[in-house]
Amino acid sequence: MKANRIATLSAWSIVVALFLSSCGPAPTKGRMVEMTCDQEISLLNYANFEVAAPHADGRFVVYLSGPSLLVVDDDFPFLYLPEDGNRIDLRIDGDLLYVNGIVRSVSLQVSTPSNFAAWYASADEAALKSIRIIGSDDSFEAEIEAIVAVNPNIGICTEGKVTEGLFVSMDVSSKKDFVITHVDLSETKILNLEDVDPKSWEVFSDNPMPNLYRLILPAEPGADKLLDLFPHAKAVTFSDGNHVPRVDKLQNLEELHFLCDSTNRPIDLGPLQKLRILSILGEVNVTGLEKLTKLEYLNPGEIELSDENLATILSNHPNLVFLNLLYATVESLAPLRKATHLEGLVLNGFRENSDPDFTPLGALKKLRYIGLSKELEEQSEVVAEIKKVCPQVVVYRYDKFCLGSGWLVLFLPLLAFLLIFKRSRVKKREGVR
Amino acid sequence: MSSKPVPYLAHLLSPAFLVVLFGFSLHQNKSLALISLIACFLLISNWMRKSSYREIQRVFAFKSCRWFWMVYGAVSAIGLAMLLRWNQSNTLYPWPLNPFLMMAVMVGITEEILFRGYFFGQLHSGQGAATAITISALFHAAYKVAIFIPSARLDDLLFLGSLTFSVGVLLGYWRKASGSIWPCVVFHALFDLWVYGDRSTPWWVW
Repeated sequence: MKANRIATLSAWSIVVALFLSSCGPAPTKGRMVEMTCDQEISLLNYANFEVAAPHADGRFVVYLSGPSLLVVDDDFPFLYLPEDGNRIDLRIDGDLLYVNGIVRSVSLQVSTPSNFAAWYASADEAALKSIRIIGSDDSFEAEIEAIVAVNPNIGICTEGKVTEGLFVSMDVSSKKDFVITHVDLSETKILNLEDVDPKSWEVFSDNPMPNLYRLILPAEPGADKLLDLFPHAKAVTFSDGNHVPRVDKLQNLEELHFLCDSTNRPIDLGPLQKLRILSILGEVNVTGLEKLTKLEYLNPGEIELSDENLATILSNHPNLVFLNLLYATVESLAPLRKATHLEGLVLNGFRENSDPDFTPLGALKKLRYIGLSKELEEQSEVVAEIKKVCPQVVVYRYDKFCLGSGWLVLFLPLLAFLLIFKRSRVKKREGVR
Repeated sequence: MSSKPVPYLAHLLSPAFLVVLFGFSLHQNKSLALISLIACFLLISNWMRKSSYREIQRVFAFKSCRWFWMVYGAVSAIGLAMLLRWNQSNTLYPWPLNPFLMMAVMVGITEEILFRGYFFGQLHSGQGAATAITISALFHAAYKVAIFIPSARLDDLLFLGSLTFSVGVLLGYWRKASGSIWPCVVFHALFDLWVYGDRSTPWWVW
């Protein structure tokens, strides 16, 4: 009897432990996040995330690995945290950016209309603490000081000025000498130097900035000396330029984004065994791709993929969750049958003389999202075929009830019908007379 | 000024309010937008049901006019559209054409039939030409602005509202002077074709 009770108790403990562990966050795995906005916005394809479908009318699906810096409409730097969830509703109200109904970002550079003062006047401490980034100019200094007093982790984005917090200046191009000191940046997690000429970098720091996990910098000569200082960086983006430095020393790297060109010599990615996200948006020649067995997200860039090439990619990267082929063309989708882990897929188009067949997508039971290039999207039968073979997926921009101002044209057939009806009655009457 | 009273609430103000409400709620509450649109159509249909064929023709002004009014409409539309495209650093001619242009043209035609046709006609019956021109242009501007209120900035809204109102006044004058809706229809259809002909469907249309 006693043994029976112990066994029952143990079984329940295991169940509860499993339940609790499943409730916790999954810190090492990326996530697809759907973002909607009440207006047409642009999301800067920036640093640590990938806009899966760029022609998004206020709707985006992005793949994020964790805390991520996004820039909405060029004006609002916004720090995404996993606690924001997988569905985010954005709303811009003057110089305020609401995320799921809460003001998360203020951009005082947005001049009209300025709703910050009115919002600040009625904001309580909780509201002030909920802001993550303020893009500041010279105005509202007293208010900003008051916000920093209650919310010391806030990121402040000012021109030419590095401040404490998670985020460093968006635009420091006007500053002649960019100096990284150990004083102000000890808490810095994201360092954005994309607009800074590497020749003006001067780093004197006895603090290796262990908190820093993300680095955004141009691919220009001189970038390598900065990379040497941050061997612990987990994410690097080369935002511009055409001289990508060696990255093989960054063995903790989990994310690598090329928004630049580099055709001078191949970049060996083989040593980056921890890499989970690789995105190539420029002309970059990489080698060692097949060794990256932990990849979850892959955008191979502008490439023509034969069935054999695609099959090789899929077999080399068995953990692939999101395959972004927005710049690639494929021979067929047949090799995708084996990519059973795939949750997101972006398709650009097919090679010439190939017959588009979407039935292989039916085998992908975990697939939740398909993004289409503009060319594919404009072919009405494509969306219908995809929905037929995998009805569970959300196809980008496919909205059953797409009510817009165009619905006004329904007035024309109504008017025509009523006019014809009236005219026929008049003719009838004239005939009777 | 004519002295004939207009049944403002049923035939004029309610449809005008509903069409503006349709524009305003389009991207916030689609159900409300659809209900507003249907209610607006029902009110206009009800008026048409009760009115004689001749009265309907008079209000909408579906009759021919002198050819030079049509030429005015066409030339002005293309000129204004080219100016707009140039201002937006675009090519002066829309090419290659996108299938969306059919929708653009239809939307333009419908707006003219509604604002310079129905609303102008109703107002002209009761309040005379000057009021009809001004108020119908105001309705049109309010509808356009309402569509973008949730998303655009104040200065953009002011620009859009004043442009729509100014062009609305011009079209209202053409409608009055020519005695026909067709110059306005030609203008709006050609303008939309020229401006949107090479673009994909704007987010607010579909």
